[in-house]
Amino acid sequence: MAKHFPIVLGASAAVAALAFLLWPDSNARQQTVLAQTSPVATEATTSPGAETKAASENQPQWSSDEERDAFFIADMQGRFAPHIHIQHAQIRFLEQLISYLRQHYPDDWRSRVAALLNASFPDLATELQNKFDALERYNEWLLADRKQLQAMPAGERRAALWDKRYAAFGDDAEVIWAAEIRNQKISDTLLSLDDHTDSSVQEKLTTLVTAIEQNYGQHADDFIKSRQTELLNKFVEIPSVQTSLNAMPANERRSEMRAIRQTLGMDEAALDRWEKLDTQRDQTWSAGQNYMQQREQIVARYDGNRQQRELEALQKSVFGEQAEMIQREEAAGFFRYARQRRIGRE
Amino acid sequence: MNMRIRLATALMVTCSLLTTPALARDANKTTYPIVFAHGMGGFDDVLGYDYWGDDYGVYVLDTCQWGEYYCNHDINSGQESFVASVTPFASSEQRGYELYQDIQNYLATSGHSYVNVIGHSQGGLDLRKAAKLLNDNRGYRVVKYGISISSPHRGSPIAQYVLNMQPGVTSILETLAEYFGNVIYGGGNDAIAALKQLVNHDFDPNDGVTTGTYAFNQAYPAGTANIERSRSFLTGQDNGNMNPALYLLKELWTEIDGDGYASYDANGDGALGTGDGNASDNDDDGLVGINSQQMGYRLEYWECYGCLDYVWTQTNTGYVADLNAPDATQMTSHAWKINQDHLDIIGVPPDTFDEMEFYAAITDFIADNGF
Repeated sequence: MAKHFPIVLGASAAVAALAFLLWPDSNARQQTVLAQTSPVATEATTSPGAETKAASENQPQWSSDEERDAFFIADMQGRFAPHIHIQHAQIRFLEQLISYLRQHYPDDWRSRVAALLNASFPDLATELQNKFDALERYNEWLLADRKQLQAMPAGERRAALWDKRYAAFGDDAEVIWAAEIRNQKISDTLLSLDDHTDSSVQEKLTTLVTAIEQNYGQHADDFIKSRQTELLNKFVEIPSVQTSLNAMPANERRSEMRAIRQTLGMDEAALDRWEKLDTQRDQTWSAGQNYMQQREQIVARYDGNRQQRELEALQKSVFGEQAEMIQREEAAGFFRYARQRRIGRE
Repeated sequence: MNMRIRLATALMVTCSLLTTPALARDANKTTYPIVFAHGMGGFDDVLGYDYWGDDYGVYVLDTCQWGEYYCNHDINSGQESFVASVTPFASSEQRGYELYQDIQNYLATSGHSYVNVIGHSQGGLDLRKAAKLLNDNRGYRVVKYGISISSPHRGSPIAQYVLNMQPGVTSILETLAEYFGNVIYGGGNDAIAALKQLVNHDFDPNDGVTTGTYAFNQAYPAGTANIERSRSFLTGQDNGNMNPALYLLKELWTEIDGDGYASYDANGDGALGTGDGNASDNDDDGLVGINSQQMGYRLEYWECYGCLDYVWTQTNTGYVADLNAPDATQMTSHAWKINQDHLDIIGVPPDTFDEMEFYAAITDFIADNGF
């Protein structure tokens, strides 16, 4: 458990001592965790109160609003002091502040903002107040124009959002939404790859990896490794990549898929697991597509109960224990093998 | 300042942070990775970070691996996770199958044998089917914690309202496009099937297919057969604080009264149960009544000032294994409900909900309890 890290950054000794005294009881927390890990048999019980204590029993008891405010300030200093010079951290701090004030002072929360900003980060109070005002303006616009925004195509909506972000925060908007900018560039590259009509699958993948390198620099490999499956899923489902993969003979397709996965940093063990999965899926889909053909023949040839009996017999012979699942899906209108197979995803 | 200079400035700030010591990392690493299953509509951002992110594009389980700032400082740097992506508008029969395939892909890449799955909204239904398919096909129970957030396990009145084209709805597709964007027009979507999935009963007995949450729940229950521990977060909020997109639904269409008990859809709104006669008592999150949301045990979320937020299992309202037969307490109790709307707990602004700490707390909860 690494729960109770000390609040020291930017907090006075008195506030820290107060915070320590008022901390949720660690024994109570420990007991709760132990109770939670009790045998799985409790899963089926409906007897109340068997597992945990009420959270209210762990709530610190404040003797005054000032005491609670002091604790909140110390917490915010502990969490945000190392990064408070970054505009994104400032906005996250302000959101916490607004949430806290709304909860505890719903009637006059706005009038208390300046005092808490001063108490939390006095050197940055003016800057934070300006950010608070900008955030209020931006959110008010979001609220007012929500309906129009939702009706816009994604690109148009993005442009409208950025116009307002610049208007509210100036160039700081790019630091506040830096993560979104980076994600968007990768997303834009993925979407644009479908237009590279003269490129091979490997050339498209190289374009994607290059875009990641441009955005993540020396950490590109780390990013790819942490998001391998998401990137692979999104890359192989690009329509033109699917067209290429579908046009390949099975053996060629398998080595192409192996090369794609290798480029995305998968090791030999992962490549072998994938190959096994690919083989299993190829067999499943082959059986599934044959089933659909036979199914069509049965539906064309028989009606009523006879049709039903023939279908059930076919499902059982093709899918064995999975026949019931297939029947259920079809009853709900879903025919998994009637669709175009998404190579590499199913 | 032109775009290039602005970007360079942002990059400089980012680089300057590489030498800044990271904040203490509080949440423990889970034994098994966390898989995220999104709700209806999916996401604009291709990798899904805007959905499972804070309101500024930072992914909620982005680990701080190289001293960067734009990550979740509250989680362990070794935390593993995967963002699944399924057809935005489809039945949970289809989406659950696709989620299963996505999890198979992730297991092949990562070498893991087990996962924890967190599903938001319809993702909470999808995860139940995926868990069954994983169990059936791998021969063991793959899903450890299955956690639903704001999920319409017993239906949503909004789905039936739209399908019936009640006042304010002139076209189902246009209505969904208005609220979810043009993603509805993408290939493979089936808006009607998606909506019928979220009505409790079989919406159209004459359409040749059996739809709705009731039939789905019979086939894919909670309980321990396919999910070792089923848990759920409930959300509900008053109109004044509700996301404007959801508030518009209340203003223009219908206000859900979602905290009354009945063993069937007694008020005919498309969700199991009924109302208590007061639709304005925070009994829904804009899309789903609280009487639809419990699966397994409820989870409590407690915002802590001075430490990482806490998540606990609460057994006071009992365990819902048969999702079609919750008892009166499970349908009417507001206990442990998170006072947020349907969209606050994902990266849809504006809100002041701390998504980063919320998901860090869930991670810590899962880790502390052995999974």
